[in-house]
Amino acid sequence: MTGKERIYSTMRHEQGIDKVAWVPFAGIYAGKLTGHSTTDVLTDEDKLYESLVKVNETYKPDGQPIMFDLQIEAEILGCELMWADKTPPSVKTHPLESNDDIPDYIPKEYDGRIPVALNTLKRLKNGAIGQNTALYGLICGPFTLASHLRGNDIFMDMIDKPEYVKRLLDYTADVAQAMAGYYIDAGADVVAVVDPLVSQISPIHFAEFLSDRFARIFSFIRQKGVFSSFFVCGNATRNIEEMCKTRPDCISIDENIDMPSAKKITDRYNIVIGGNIPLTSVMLYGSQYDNMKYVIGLLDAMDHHNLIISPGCDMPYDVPPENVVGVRQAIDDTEAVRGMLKNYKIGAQQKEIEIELPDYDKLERPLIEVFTIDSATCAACGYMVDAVKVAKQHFGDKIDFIEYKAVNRENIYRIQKMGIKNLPCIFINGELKYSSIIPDRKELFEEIERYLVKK
Amino acid sequence: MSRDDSKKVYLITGFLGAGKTTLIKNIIEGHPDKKIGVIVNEFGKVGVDGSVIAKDGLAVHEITNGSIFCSCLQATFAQSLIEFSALPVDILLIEGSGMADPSNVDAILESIKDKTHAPLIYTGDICVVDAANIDKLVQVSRPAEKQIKYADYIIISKADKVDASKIDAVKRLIAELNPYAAIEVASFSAVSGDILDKVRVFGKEGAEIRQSCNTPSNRPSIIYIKSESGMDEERFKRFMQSIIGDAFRVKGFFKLSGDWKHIDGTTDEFTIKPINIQRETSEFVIFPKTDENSVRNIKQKSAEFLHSAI
Repeated sequence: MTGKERIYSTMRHEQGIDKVAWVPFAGIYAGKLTGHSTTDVLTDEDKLYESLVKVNETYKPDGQPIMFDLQIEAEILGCELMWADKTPPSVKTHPLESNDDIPDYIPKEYDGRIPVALNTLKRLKNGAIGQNTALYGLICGPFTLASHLRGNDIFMDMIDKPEYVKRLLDYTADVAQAMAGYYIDAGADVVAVVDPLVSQISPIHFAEFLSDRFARIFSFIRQKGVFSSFFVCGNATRNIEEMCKTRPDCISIDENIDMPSAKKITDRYNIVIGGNIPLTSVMLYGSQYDNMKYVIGLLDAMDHHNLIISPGCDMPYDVPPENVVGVRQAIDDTEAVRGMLKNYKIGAQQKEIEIELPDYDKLERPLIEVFTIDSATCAACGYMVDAVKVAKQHFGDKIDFIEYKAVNRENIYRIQKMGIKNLPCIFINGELKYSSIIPDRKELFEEIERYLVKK
Repeated sequence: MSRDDSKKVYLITGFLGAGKTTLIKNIIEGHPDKKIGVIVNEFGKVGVDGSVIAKDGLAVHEITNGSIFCSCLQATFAQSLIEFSALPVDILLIEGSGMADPSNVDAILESIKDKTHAPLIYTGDICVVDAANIDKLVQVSRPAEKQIKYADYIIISKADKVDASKIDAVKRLIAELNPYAAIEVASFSAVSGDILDKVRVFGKEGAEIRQSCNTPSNRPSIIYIKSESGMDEERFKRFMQSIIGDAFRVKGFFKLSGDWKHIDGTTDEFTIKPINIQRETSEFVIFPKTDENSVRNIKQKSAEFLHSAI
């Protein structure tokens, strides 16, 4: 089963799918893997394409977003943006802040940065990635777009000028529908309506102001034969039920919502739920171990029907790639990872276990040690081992090479004794050289040459 | 790292236009001998409030694109706190936006403890509410309600713009949402005396300190639970479910089934979230509702819980 088929089966609410689907939200984070800045991946289609290909290779996602930027529509409609190094741009000015106008311009598919997203989507769709991976087109939800246009006053307006707010939301829902149409025509498998602000109002206000507009957008996407997802951010616990009533195929939540409790509600409506690996405490600051543990906790806490594992939102730019690798592995090979985590814990408690490390100062020739989760099942681990195998072929007997897989206790204790926090990684003569990011041939060969010269 | 380097951290919340920036200016002017840093995050008002404060020659860091307490921006916020911990400031003010969810601040500070260059001590949450519109805002905006619920000190600003009966109504509304916070009525956010000295974070220190804050003396006692060994998560959840309806607020860090968790909640909901920290002891504070039955029930359930845990 390809990742794309897995997403399709999940969205069709099928039972007995081989494993739970995995959708890493690598928006600005895609640039992290290729060294491109946030601005690069949100404005330059070649750099975006290159970065998304790298995301696909490294993380083997079942589904992946094209561009995670809720300001594309607002920018076209007259909001000035402020760009930042490691976060998406933010809205700086609100054209409707001091007037009660309702705009009528609907962005065209050639406006602003829409072509960057659509052209990249088409390129991916027409290649191998499009065959194997479900591609997500992300649009700004009508409530968040209305707040971009109107500013903070939108909340007071809901009390003082409810009819104005409703007309504004009718307009922003029209924009959202047009955007959904562009993504669908360009080949999106899933359209995600991203509306973080939904968590900030009560269910009563959701029902009064938003229900009809969201239902209309999801109905439009459904009629076009494409799947829909409703992304929310923040503590939207009280709104989950109202969100379900708007009939998306999936609801995606972040760490502020207790996922098992929310799934009880989405299950009643036969809606898929996606989430909710914490972005900062687990993905950014946690170790690979923490990420694997969190995901196994999610998999254990919920029935796997109608379930997708994903980060709570767009991943922070500096998330260590090995943490994302660990998540994929925890989903693919849950029992092996469960055993590995157990042994990690035991190993940490039994420091006296005898593992003999090589005497790195007295080696006859450079020793390359590759530590992996398991190169047979973990894609990133396999690439890393392959890179070293190529070097071994080239250098022959001049170097030694060994792989340690974290599949048995002895190797896990060795990994701990080496002080390794993340897998896969490459050590040369006991020195950490590469962690998670696979070195290219030239880079690795030059590094080995340096050790040969030292010898 | 010495304790002398520690920086007091205050959170200042309130809707756009309530008077947060005026309050911050007043605080800065009132402490000419202190170095004050400000993290500004005004949802939808990028660059405006921040630039005003920057003119006073202070360290200011702006966080843009939504709320710092939205999970998407927590990383930026955490990084900003770490950077500030290395600067020579005595006090750090976090100006949260109208969208700010204050419930995550203590968890963020706890989770970056081993990354900061000097200790950041969370010292209090000040909420500024606009007397003219807070009654409407709490109806429509969940954060507006939550900011009042989580505040240690509440300033009713712009009192000069409304009549006395409106002030009384706002006071009643606030007391209903948060019986623990001290309330001060002010015009133009011009509070009397040194507000930073008056603010104390709710915690195990309890009611005694609160008495000095010009607050009602009939505040119920705060219940504090401490454990050296941690608890079973399911048992803890059952305990929480048995008391949450009687609690105005709960908060703490507990080791549950071997892992550290951040616990946070108000009367109608609570969350138990994983947190990447290491502590010596598990601590948990319950603020009961003000009626006798609630206090009695929580005390009884807490005693049973502790007994069963032993």
